[in-house]
Amino acid sequence: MSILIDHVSRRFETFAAVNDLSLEVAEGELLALLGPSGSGKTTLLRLIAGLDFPDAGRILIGGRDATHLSAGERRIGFVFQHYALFRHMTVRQNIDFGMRVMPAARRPAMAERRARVERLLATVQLDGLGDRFPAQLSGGQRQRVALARALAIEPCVLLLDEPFGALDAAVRRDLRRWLRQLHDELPVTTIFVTHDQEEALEVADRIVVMNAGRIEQSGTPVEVEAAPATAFMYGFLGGASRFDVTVAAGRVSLAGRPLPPEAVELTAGVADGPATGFVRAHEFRLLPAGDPASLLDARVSHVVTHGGTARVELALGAGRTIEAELPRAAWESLALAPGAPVGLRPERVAVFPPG
Amino acid sequence: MPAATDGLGARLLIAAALLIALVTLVVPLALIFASAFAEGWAAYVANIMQPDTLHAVFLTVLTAVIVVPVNMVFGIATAWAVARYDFPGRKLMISLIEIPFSVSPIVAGTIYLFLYGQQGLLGPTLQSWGVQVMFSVPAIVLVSLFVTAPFVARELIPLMQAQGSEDEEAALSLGASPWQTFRLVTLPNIRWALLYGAVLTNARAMGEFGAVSVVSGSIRGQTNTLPLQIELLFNDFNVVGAFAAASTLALIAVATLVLKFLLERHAQ
Amino acid sequence: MPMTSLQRRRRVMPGFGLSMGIALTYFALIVLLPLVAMAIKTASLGWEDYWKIVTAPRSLASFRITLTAALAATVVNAVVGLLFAWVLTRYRFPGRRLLDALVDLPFALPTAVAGLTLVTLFAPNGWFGRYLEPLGIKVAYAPLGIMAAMFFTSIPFVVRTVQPVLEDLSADVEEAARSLGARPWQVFALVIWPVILPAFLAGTTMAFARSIGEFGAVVFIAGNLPMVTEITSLLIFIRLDEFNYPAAAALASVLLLVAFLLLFLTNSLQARVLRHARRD
Repeated sequence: MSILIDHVSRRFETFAAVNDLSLEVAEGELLALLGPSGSGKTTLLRLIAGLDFPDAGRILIGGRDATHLSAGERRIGFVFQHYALFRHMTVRQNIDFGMRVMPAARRPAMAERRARVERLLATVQLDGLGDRFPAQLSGGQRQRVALARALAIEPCVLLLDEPFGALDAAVRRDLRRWLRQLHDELPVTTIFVTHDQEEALEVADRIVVMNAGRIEQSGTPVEVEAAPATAFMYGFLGGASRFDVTVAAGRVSLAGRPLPPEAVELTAGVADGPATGFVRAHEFRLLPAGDPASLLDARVSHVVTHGGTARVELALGAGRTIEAELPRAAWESLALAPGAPVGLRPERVAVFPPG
Repeated sequence: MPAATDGLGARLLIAAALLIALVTLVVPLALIFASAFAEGWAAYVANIMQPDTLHAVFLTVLTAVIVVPVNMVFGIATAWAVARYDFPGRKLMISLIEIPFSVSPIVAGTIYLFLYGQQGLLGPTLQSWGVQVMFSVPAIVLVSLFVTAPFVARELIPLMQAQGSEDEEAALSLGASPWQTFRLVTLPNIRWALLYGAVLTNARAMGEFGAVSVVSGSIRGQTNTLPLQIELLFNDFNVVGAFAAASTLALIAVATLVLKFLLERHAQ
Repeated sequence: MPMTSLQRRRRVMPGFGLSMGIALTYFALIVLLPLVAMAIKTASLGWEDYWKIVTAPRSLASFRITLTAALAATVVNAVVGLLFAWVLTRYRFPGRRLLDALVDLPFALPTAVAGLTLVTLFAPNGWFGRYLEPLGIKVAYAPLGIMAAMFFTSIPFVVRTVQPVLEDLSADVEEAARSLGARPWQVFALVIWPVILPAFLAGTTMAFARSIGEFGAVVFIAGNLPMVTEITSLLIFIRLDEFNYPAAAALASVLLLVAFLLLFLTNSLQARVLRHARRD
């Protein structure tokens, strides 16, 4: 079902965890809520689940106002960060729990309950483990039990809080791919919270990046990756270098040298005077020292080549280091050793108001 | 990881601890049973079967049967309120619960006397209604409730705080009613600590001496609990009888220790 | 009002009203109401009478006897408790589990049983008394007996507060200190002692509070001679028996105040224990 979050706020004492936030999630969408810790993403998820209530605003699920419904009335599957499996129940009993507590009138017959549990065990690839207790399972298996338990109530929306947070890297990669496949087979509207951008980029249809209780940017992984919309986004996505630049009549200069207009992306609200520019690692061109096209002088301090790319650490002087990324072949053709001087030319500079 | 035990210092410390434990804990326990059976089985049974002692056993069990469930309910309610919500005065509440522990048993009895006694706050009013609390069974039950009030709560609070509310939230989001959530999720999660709290409550309720001796009136065969009966027999120079009565309470104490040991293993 | 601010926000976890209602009502009826009755009784005395009762020679003697015996018992308990806690957490030896279980015996054993047992042990013909009396050490019906009873009934406090902290103090911290060149006594003094100190103090405070209030075990062994072996709890009991309620109220209020003071002290100390525990 679709979800509409309409000007929702939630404060804790004086701290606004979610601040006048609006968001629409389409039916069947797989959405990632991405953000640093403390950005309010988990609070938003709990507000949708009915595990917390907003101070202001409305939450509509499937067009119906759910703002005042309790968690149980919303029919939302929630997967907790630490799974919250009932430790005294077997895997089967855990999955069956939601059906067991249904009012008798709505509760499926015993045979149907059993069949559904077995079906879900197969779906989450845990056949044969139904009689184990949670303590006898690995982290990834527990995660899948939690998911099966949430799916057993045939939820209209599935919410996952840091679903892969507590798992080791290899299991995490497998589970991500598997979650993506599961969503393709079972297209329930799904929102998951994560602080890991790689995870969000890989799994989600759409990414919503949160910061300080508000939405910073929303878009498909490709859009967000290609065009970070705010200074925060550049900082959060990482790998970008920050420069103090000067704006005069629409022309931007870096360290006193004017930047070519085609390389500059001025955002709205940038006035004449000092401003902040961001250059991402792969948007630097490296040139031989002294090349007239060079805009910055640097020195190579360290190089890591990995696969087809080279990551070069460059010293700008005054103790400042930045990172550039280029194809391995291009790097090798420059034939530079650590310590060698090198020229830098930013191909694209995103300019934001100073701050 | 425990350190190696082969050093001389370690051996000396272990030997000292075992020796002290032998003198202060093992010997007294042994003495109780040795004295109780000093005149043989027949005398032991005769001592226990004495009507006053039997009545004391009955009254002690009756008190425990009332006190334990009541304080379990109080303990669960308090632990739930304190561990599941944040409210002003929460920390104060946690420390106030400990009051009955820190108060001398005699003072516990005294404050009840000043509440329900003839010159007490409520005593005269209750008396005019024909309700006699002091020097009767209700008074014994009330002071026993007071002295054992914190046991269950203090076992449950740290556990429930450590467990957090995620399990209950999961149950609620799966559609469970509050009562289902409590019965199917909370109660199984706390059962061992709850049982241990109940065991401690029982031990103290059966063994309370000071507070009960103030409010019971120690009427032979009527308001004498086992601990009071022990004192009575001792003052009558019936030492073997006193030890026979004491041995029953000592058995409960040993059972309490065994249960504690088993429950702690279960909880792990 | 705090209550209104409590109710304003909707709570997800059900049962706030019910659990809070049960907890507060019960607490008010069982704990608070009798304390209020006691406060009213004491307040009706007037300061002059109160002072006269509290400073009467027999009262003062009972305070002195109670305090000295409790202090002595607590000092012994501090040492023994630390030894037990250390041995139980640091070494593996036959009988360790039994010792661990037995430490709680004084809590589980009714005080009257403890008193009966101790007086029998220390009587002139008792298992201990027969060896101590010839040496001129009189325990039963003497101040030393009061101390013995207080010691026995409060054995578990120091052990049970220090033990979890010692268990929690991971061995790698000690190994780190050793690898940095610290000698064993330095490891104890600089690494272990500061961590267990708050728990140790909380445990000794609890043991002291328990000793001050102990009644059952003491009355059996003390002999209860006014001015010599009469503890404050017993004096209250005697005053109640004489229907001298004002005197009982005044003396009980002194014990109550001491108890509250010690409770406050224990709570602040335990808050510090928790601060140490929250180190990850």
